[in-house]
Amino acid sequence: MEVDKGKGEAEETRKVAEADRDTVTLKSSDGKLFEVSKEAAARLSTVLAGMIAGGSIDDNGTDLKQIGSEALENVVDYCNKHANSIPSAALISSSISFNTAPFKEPEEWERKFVDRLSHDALFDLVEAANFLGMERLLDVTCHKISEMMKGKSPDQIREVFNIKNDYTKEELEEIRQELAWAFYDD
Amino acid sequence: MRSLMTHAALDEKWARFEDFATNLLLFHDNTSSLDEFLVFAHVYNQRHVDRWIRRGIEYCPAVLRILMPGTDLAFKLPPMASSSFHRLKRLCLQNLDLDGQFTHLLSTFPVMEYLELTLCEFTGDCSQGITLSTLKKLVLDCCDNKTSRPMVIMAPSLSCLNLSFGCYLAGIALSKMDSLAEAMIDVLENQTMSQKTQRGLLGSLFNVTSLELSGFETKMMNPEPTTGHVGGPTDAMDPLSALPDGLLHVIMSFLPAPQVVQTSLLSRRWRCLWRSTPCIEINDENFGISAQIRDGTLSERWARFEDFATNLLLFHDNTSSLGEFRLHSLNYNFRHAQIDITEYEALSQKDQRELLGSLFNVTSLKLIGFEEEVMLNKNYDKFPIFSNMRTLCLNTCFRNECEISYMDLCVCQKFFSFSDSEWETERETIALHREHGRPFQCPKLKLVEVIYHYDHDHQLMEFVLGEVIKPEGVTKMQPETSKKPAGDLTSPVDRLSALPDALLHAILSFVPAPQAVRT
Repeated sequence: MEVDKGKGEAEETRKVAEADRDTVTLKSSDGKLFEVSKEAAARLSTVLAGMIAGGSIDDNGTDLKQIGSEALENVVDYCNKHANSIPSAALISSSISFNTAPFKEPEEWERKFVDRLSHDALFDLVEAANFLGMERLLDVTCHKISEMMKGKSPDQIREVFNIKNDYTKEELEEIRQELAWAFYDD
Repeated sequence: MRSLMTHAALDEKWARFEDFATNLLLFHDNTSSLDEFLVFAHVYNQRHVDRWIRRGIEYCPAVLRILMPGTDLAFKLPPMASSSFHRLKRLCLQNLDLDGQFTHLLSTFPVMEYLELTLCEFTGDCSQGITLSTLKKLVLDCCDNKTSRPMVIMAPSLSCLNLSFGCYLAGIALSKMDSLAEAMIDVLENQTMSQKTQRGLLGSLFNVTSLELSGFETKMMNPEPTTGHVGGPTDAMDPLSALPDGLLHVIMSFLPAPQVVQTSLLSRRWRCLWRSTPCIEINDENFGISAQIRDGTLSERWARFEDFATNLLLFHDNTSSLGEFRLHSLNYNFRHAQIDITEYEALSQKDQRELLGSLFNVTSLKLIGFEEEVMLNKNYDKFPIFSNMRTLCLNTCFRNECEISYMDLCVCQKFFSFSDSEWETERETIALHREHGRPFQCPKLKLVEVIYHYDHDHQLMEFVLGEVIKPEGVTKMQPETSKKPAGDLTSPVDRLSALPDALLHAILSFVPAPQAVRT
């Protein structure tokens, strides 16, 4: 779905064509272009929906300076997969309960989608989803991170995420005492 | 040890008192190491009290308290030799007239750490002040500086200052407050301190870590936060810690509550994050409580769970503006094991009520296995009104004769109810629709979702829809067996709400045998 930057005539024709097409072009921080269906973008991202409605979509590629190409590729990938996974008509009719119901467990394809991501890619995707206001993607990615933490001791979590322990031994003990009620051994 | 002298007003009693006090002081032979000397007397005979004080001071007490309550005539301290104060650490004076001599006297106390002056008057036309290099705590309560000179407090070791009310017309100045860490200052409204004085006071409190002000008129300028590393991501962090608080809260919302609290231990960045999560989930499953447990460990588990839940709500900063609260509790099962655990039931119901009580601002509430009555109308003062509630989700709640009343759920927009049991048994117990003949008011209700397993004789449908739409609507309700997405009921008129703009969608999904109701 990556599209090379067009120039001159090619760009002109594409511009014309784009007015009729139902896709939007997004540009990552490092200048790569991605296309995504306008309908999916508007439905999944509140920010993109606002931009489309407000007419601030640039046909030559809407600049998303905060998002790197790898993360944007994943975003677009997610949008496409999402559009494919659920028939759009059904999605619209069930959209009320979809949006209002409490968080639903990630579906199989969503699980697979986040499972294949590296650590860095996952965090980049979280930030991208946050920036674009993609609630569902944010939930799915955050859920993935929580899965990586679930059932682990603080020490293990530190190891998994490479979190630096900047407490002194005494401080750590103090907190442990303070929050003794939250530590239980079963 | 301690010499205590109290007073009685009557003459003979006073005489006896005097005799006792004098004798006590005369025959007390522990002259060199008295720990505390306390004089408590409504002044009757100043001469006597003077004497006791002078005598008492000769014991070189470490603690001296002279309290003269209720005297009209201001009591003046007798002249005292400063050599007697070489051990004095605490001095408490109440209702005394302190003249220029006192200022001088104070400066001679070598080890004074605590000074408390209550209802004392500073008189005499000389400069007044408290200059004590060793003083650690100073309390000035309702003192009155009648001199024309400002009150000067110079105490470089002072760590705690409590200044309440009082009158300091000529102003009050704190200097050398380098080690002051805690300050409590109450100022009366009636202009006893000029704004300039107030500002000056504040200016000298630059080092405090805890400051409590009341009645101040001077504007507070707080140029920069003094806390160092607490909160906020920094560049050098791992990708997880580098996420903004909001995202970490989303991640934490998927974790079991004990683990959310345990994240405190990860690093300073995580220290206080759990306190501000907008989502609290309390689940007794995290503590190994389940319907299967019938042995003795249940009480222990429940006690731990209760302890956790209470602590969590106590120490969470955000309970008044919580976004979401989920409580999973299997008390329902306790009911069925009634003989064994009646006591827990009582405990838990109280607990449930308390839990709910602290959540008056939630916008989304999901209750599972809840037994406590939820009363949301204003007539029931035990219960909070959930004025911000947007979503109410009930699952297997209210098995018994509880009545749920949604009288004033005026902003509730969504209501879900899940039940995995036969509706029939619950039907008469959930009074969702009305109370005392009034329709319940939920003008903003947009969605009702009722999911249940069995529908005997379609009573539920009648029950819900009968209240929702006009009677002719009910007759149209014929269950269809086709498995289609639940239809939206858009009823132009309903009894549910008197407001014209009310819109109600009822989505009924029947879990095991999906039946869609379409209109």
